[in-house]
Amino acid sequence: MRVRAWFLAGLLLATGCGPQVGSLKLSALAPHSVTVAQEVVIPLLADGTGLQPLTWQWRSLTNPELTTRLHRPTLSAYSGGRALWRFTPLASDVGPQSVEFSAESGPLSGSIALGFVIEPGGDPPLFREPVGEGTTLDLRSMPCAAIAVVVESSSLPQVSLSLVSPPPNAELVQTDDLGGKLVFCPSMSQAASETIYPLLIQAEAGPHTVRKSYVIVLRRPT
Amino acid sequence: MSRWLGLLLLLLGACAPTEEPLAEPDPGLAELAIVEVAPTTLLPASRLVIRGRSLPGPSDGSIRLWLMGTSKLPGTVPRNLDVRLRAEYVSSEEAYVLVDTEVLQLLGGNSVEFEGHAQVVIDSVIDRREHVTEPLQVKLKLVPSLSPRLDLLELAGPQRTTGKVHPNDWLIVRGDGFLFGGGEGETVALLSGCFLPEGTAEPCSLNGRSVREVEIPVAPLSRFDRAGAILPYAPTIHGVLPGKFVGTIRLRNQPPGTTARTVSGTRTVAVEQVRPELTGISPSAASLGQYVEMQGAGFIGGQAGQATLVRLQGQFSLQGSPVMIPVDTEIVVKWLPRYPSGPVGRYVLDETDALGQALESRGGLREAAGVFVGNGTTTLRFGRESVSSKPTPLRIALLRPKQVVVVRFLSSYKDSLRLFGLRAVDNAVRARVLEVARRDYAGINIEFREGGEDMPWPQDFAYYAQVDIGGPDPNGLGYLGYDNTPGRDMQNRRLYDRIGGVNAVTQSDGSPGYGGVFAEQLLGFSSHPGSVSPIKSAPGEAELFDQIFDPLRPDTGGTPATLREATLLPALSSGSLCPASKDDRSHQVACAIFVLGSLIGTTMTHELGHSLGLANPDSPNGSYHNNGNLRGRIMNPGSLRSFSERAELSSSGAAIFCDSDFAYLRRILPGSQLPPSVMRPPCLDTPTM
Repeated sequence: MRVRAWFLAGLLLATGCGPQVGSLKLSALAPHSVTVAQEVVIPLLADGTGLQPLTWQWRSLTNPELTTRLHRPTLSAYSGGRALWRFTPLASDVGPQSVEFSAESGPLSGSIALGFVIEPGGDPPLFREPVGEGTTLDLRSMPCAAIAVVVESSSLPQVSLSLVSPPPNAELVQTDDLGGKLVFCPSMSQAASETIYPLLIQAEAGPHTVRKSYVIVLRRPT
Repeated sequence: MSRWLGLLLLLLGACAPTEEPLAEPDPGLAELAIVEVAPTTLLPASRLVIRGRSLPGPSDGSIRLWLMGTSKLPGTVPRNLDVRLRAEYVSSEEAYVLVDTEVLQLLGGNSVEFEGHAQVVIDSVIDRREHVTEPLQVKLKLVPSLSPRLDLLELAGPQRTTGKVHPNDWLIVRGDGFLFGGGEGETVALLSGCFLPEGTAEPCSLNGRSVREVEIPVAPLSRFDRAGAILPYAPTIHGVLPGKFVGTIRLRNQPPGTTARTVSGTRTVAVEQVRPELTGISPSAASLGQYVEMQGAGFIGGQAGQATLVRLQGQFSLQGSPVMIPVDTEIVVKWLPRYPSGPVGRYVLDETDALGQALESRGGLREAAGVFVGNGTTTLRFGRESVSSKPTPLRIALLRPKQVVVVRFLSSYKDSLRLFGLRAVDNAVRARVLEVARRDYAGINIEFREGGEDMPWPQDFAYYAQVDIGGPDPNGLGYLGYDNTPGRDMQNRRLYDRIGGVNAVTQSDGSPGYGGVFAEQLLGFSSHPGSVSPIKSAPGEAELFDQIFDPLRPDTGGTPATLREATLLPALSSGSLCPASKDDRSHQVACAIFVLGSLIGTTMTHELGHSLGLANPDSPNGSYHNNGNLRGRIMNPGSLRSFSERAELSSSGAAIFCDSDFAYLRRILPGSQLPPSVMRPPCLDTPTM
């Protein structure tokens, strides 16, 4: 029994704790999406490390300044061939980025490149006015409803405002980059046939399209 | 034998990688727990919801549900089950496992019963460790499909025993096998019968309106209840007119992606539909952008051809004026399908609608404070049908605008707290931030509310401002804070400013686009700020900063604060005891909380001041900061705001709004409470051009 134990221990030391030949195989999980001001964490793994210490390095293939800036990404190495790369992108980083990670363990080495796109992170436009769900129009006192429309846009400085499938005599006139006026002047025949006019106001900013329901209800004589 | 085995294990251990965790165990997971796993009956594509505490977001760790126990197919012997299922993060209190094909396989099929323990397992990205909750006893049942069973139909709430319903009143169905929507499909009610309008002679079959298989979706009575559900007595059944309906109801389960549908047995329905009622409004005093809910019953809307109006007839008396304005206007009310306290009709005070426009000549909803006294009448419009309630006496106070401010603490802020050694005492830091905000704006009609990425937005106001408390400055400029709202919002026309995220309009003229308070940059006050841009400060200031934070900062060999340490002393209300002596750990923690909370808080109140139109509020071209070089003013430029002033460690006390800045704030947002009696320094405003 004593001989077997020593034999097993000797075999273990002789073979080391991992492969001694070949290159390091690196793997990394590319992030789904990267947005300015939101930290991205990329876990890295080096397979095939030996007894020699493992050292990690990284460089940006698209933006060399990334490695020298004050608030630069960090790469922390851990045991088991693991490492974490952490990066909080700035506004100036928006666009495609490519980062190469490399690792060395004695004579072994390997590298891997990851590409991702940093998005500015703007949200879809938000309707700020009208804030309510609708209004009434008393045709005895005025022929038209005129409603100010204001949107807020974080992703683009201009939005395109429109009405989706408007009824006759309803239109949205854009007055500036982020605002307009919804005007509805129902005809006599319209007023006689229907009193509830659901409208759909649409704001488009690049890839974002948002809509707001708004109803104009004609008052009935009492 | 055991000695040799020990030697062998020692040698094996020598070769095993030494675990080097990133830091102390992630303090963000200190309160990690599993509370509930539901629903207990699952179908393919169901969501198995995990309710817990301190669940980490995707950037902080992955979540798995660990089920250990026995699973049993019908008619077979139970077998051991030990599986870990990947869960998706929803909030710090909720995650879910999607019961897809892979999960069904792991659990043993779509017809098994599981009994055992459930635990949440977190693989933390922060400390690279696995964290496991205490076990929770659970029983789960997987079924391939569910057929609805209908035992009982009853009216809900005050109508329960009357046999009378208003349009959209809730009906309750009891039985079993109801679907929750989403991937597992939905359950709908099918109503058929005959409606006889009030005043119409029998028989219904001749003079009434036939109703055939009108489909109404049902919703679970409570979130995980498959035995009880609600449905609105919708106008689409037979309209909104008063009258009697006699017929039947049955339920149908509709799984997605298949035509296979299962239907329950039939129950009879006999109800009398009555007119809507308006009994009051809540709250009885409100301001621009605030929601007002109509009390009563019978509210419709949200679909083509449906609308609820409330007619207001009476007098509006302007505050501080003998003028009485006659009012006769109708407002549009939104139907909210709320249960059990609803449905309700909701209105938001809007400058652009009929009521807002009616007050336009008196300064609109911003200036025309006063009281309306008169009657309110609800009218339902459904196509060509119209029905009204009886008039109800109403009294509604219209208040001057109120600014609600949601202070959102982002996950990047929480990450930055780690650098200060304060991650575990996040709540104490937040409390200090809000305390500073409320003090600085005392006497102004501003309400500060705590928010976060997981927290719901206000439900009582449509208009509210937002300030994000984040980590590093995304502009890369090393700012402590930045108001990225566009232009100078004189008179605070926008009650919905967002200081945070990116703003393309601000960015379009070359200004930095990202706003908020950037907590991580405050490390720049240190003499060893690490990767943060250093901030120039007067002699002794950096040393003072380091005396406060070095005992806790992990990068300086300090020991981060623990949750327990934050509870040992009451929160400090002044910095007079700071910095604490080296051997007084409790005060060291308390001082660090006080100082960081004050730094963030005073930066936040300054940036919010900008978004409200400060400084030089009456001068469109005036400086955004106070003129002159007097210290102690909140809207001073950064160069006049020292670390000790921001941290409230200076003997001169906290900075305050100067005289005309404060007068402006009182003018645009007059609070009902008297302002604190303090001597305010002069603003030295730029003369109006």
